[in-house]
Amino acid sequence: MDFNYIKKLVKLVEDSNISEIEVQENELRIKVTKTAPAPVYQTAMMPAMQQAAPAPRSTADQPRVAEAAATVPASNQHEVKSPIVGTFYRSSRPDADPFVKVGDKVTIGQTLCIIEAMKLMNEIESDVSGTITNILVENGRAVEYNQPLFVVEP
Amino acid sequence: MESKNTPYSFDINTFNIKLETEWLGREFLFIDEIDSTNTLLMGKNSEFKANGSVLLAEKQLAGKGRMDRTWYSSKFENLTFSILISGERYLKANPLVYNFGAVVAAAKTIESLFQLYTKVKWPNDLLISEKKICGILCESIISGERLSRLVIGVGLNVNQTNFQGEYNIIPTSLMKELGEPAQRERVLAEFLNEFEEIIEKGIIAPAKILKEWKDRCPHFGDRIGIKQGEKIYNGVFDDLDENGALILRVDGEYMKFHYGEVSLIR
Repeated sequence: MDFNYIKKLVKLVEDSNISEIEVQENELRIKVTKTAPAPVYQTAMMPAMQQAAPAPRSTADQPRVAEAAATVPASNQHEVKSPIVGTFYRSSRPDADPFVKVGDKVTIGQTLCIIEAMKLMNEIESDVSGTITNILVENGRAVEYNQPLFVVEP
Repeated sequence: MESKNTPYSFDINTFNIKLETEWLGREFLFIDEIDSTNTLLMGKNSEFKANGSVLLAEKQLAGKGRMDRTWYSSKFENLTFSILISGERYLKANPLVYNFGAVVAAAKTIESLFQLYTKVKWPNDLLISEKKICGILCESIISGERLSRLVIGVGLNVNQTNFQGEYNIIPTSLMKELGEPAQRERVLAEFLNEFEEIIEKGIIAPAKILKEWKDRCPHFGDRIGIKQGEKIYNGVFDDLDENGALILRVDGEYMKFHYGEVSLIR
């Protein structure tokens, strides 16, 4: 029996979308079955990651949910929330002007901040037009999925 | 300088012959000088729309590293290019497919063309004997809950041998490691061939890409430091989570990191 042949079959199934293959050659019949389908992962807009264990509150990579929750906007105000877990930056470089300040008028599609996650710099655009009335997160802080970042009054 | 070492401009025909992809790099633009390839592809009014468009620049005047750290590259010697990812099918994938996948593609390219041993450094640097050969910087635009554009910027040192300036990690190039020049066209084509295969695999099963990354990281279980601004966290490199975040064991507790500069503690 040629083990390399079997290995090739296993690899073929593993690397493909098929879950089962059966090959017969003379007396020898080989069946390769994949038990579980390949896991399909969440999209870019992944849900908040579980922190593996409690960690000191002072760490830079910890969420600041408590602060944000304290400032619930009035009903006519719109919150721009973080679509991902990462680090919040108000400007493109440490020495650059912030993208927006409280009191600025913004339009749909205007860049509000950058959230970095694993060397992927995500520019977050405003999904409404209006005036920035509050900025809920400090520059350089970690943010959680769905954490409010800006309050915009349409 | 010997004639075979004389720098020459990128030859698109040679590149085309080696390119075996279906969509990646099929829209290809080569320009002599530009501020930043990433910035041009990220532009909202950019004429680049096709998924897999590649923009290669001989020289970037304002090449970008993380937080606009400047990326220097000599003309005719290296590969500095950006790739545009667009379209629902590709944008809904876990982004690790792109920022971890790109460094895996670079590793596979160097392994298969030159049989050089490479290792990855979290999240997406590529090293040869502790020196940096390739760096990746991805940028995206998110509006509401939707990712509308993603650009992968790649800098790969090919034939540069003289590195001046200050670097976080000492740089190297293929030529420095091999002792002879490498053909840039062949390297780029092979990279795109590898990367398209990785992306197609990764959009279905991103865990496979993470596994390929982990297979090239010899530092699990080692003591490392993670620098975030002024703070440094020391601990044991335990694992990556399913999205590529680094899990560090500090005094029996586990901490998760989404950014930071990793260094080995010897």
